[in-house]
Amino acid sequence: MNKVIVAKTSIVTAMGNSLEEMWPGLSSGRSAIKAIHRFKTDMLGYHDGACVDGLRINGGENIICELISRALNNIKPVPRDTLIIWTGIKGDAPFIESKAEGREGRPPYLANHYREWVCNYLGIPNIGIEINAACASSTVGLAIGAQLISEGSYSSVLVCAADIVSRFIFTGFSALRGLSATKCRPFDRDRDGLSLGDGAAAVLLTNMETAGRMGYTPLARLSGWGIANDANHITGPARDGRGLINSIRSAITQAGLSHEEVDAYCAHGTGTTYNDAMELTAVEAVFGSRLFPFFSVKGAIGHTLGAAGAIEAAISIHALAERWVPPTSGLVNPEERAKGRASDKGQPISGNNILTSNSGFGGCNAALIFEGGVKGA
Amino acid sequence: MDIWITGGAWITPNGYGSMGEGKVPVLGSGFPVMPPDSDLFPHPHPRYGRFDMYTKLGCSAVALAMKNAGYKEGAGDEPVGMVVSTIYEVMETDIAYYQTTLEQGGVFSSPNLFSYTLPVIVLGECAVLFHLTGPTFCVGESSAGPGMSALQNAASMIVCGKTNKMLAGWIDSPPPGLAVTETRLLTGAIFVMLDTRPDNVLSFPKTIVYDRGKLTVNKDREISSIADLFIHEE
Repeated sequence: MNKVIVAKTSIVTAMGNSLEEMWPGLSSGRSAIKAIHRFKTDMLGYHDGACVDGLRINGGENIICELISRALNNIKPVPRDTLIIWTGIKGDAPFIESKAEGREGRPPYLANHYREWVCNYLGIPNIGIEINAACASSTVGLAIGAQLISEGSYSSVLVCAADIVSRFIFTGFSALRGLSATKCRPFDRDRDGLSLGDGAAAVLLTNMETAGRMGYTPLARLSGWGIANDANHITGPARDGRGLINSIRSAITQAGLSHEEVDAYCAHGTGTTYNDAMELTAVEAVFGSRLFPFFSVKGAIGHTLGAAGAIEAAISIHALAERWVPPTSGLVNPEERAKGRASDKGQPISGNNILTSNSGFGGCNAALIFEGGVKGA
Repeated sequence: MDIWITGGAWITPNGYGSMGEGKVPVLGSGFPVMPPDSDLFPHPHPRYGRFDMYTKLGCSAVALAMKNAGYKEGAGDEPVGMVVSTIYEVMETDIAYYQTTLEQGGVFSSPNLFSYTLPVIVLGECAVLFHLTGPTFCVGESSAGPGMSALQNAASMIVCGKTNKMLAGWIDSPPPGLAVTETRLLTGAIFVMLDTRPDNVLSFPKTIVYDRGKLTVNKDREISSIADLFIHEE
């Protein structure tokens, strides 16, 4: 089996057009969640989200293309034989909105159209697949990409995603009463729902040989991954955290680690009552009472849906390099089981392994382990 | 590694059926011929009537495939996964949901319809129905043919050791009015059960081999669609 290297990452959120631009804000606990002006929210009771400034329809495409182009600009060029995995989950929203409102113009961009668009933008052959696992989509995309490199099917895989705060999604979560009335507060005892955010990510995975040939300095090794279903409910998490527990254990086992060797954890941490409680149950089941840095970035940049996993992977890898995880923005009064884990302050990382996980509708759960300190290829 | 096909079923506009019955799926466009509920579930399904067409197609084809594969709920603790490939995802439901948001600034948006605006919801419904706790996700359909992308990804999951049993299949229910821009407008669902250690071997044993993205059937035959797996070979 080939080792899987994270060669490059690039992310765009409401907090900045690159990780370097975002890091000071993340580190200081700032939040980019504010009033939405993209569409009217006055009748809904929810008004906030983390929208990227200055997104415009560019060259006849839509703003999702504009958003992903910003991430791709920081990552190109990529090897010509790179497989593209597209993991945005609601790219048809601009088309649906214009069709339902009787407006003309927008083509029906499906997931395969975005993947083709990315190939054209990068000037590489049109090879790739699209993955949808709800809010765990890019987490699963990274797992599939790693698997394809590990088994020798491809030497280079680019996992891409972009999702926006669309009226389609906003009204939907509003109807489900899933949104925060203000800003989301992950793992807080007074949390009241999630905040949506625009986000794009591109994460380039390669084998060691390609990393060496292309002169990439490995950022980390993707050493383990796990995917599991709750088999419990289509929109709510299993209260006993069974799917998340199984996916974390699968990732840890594949990485060849014991649970004591996981040094930090970037949680899904949406700020909804049930998700956060489920995650804390899973943490206790897998790690017992052991305390180690545990955080969520969604109070800072919002929930970026299909892009969340890849964005959080990039942030986690950067945190490993900095040996420090950012504070959980929005957290004021940690719920009892989060005390000593999540914090409104940054926390030092003492080892080389960080876990990230995401969970979504359909009972989907996925977990990844990144190992830092990888020697040059 | 040999991966056994232990059962399968299909629903298309030209009819429905199961593996080993001497018929093969005939693909086509239009409204699918749905089997009666009594052929699908031992007890009435409480939410079946609320499903959108995509979810109904998927759950029904999976129910037939599971029955054909001799799967019994609670028969084992091994996790079973599921991969679905699709082109149009749930666009018809997306349009229906968004129509409910247009009055009164969105205050009457339908939470039930919104819940079905992701193609993975069918995975959740099947997972609850059949206790599928393995890896589950949707993939975009490849240009090769219906179900090929799901088959490849399901086989890859087995070969890498994440699970021994996977359901792989295709679902599409394209919305009306797309014919102007799209040519691939097939409607239907086809599923097969893959297993490395089968309890249920078909009367005409069939295996697939996955090797670095390439699939072959019964050692040497290449296929272009999941429907090809239903062809009887002596």
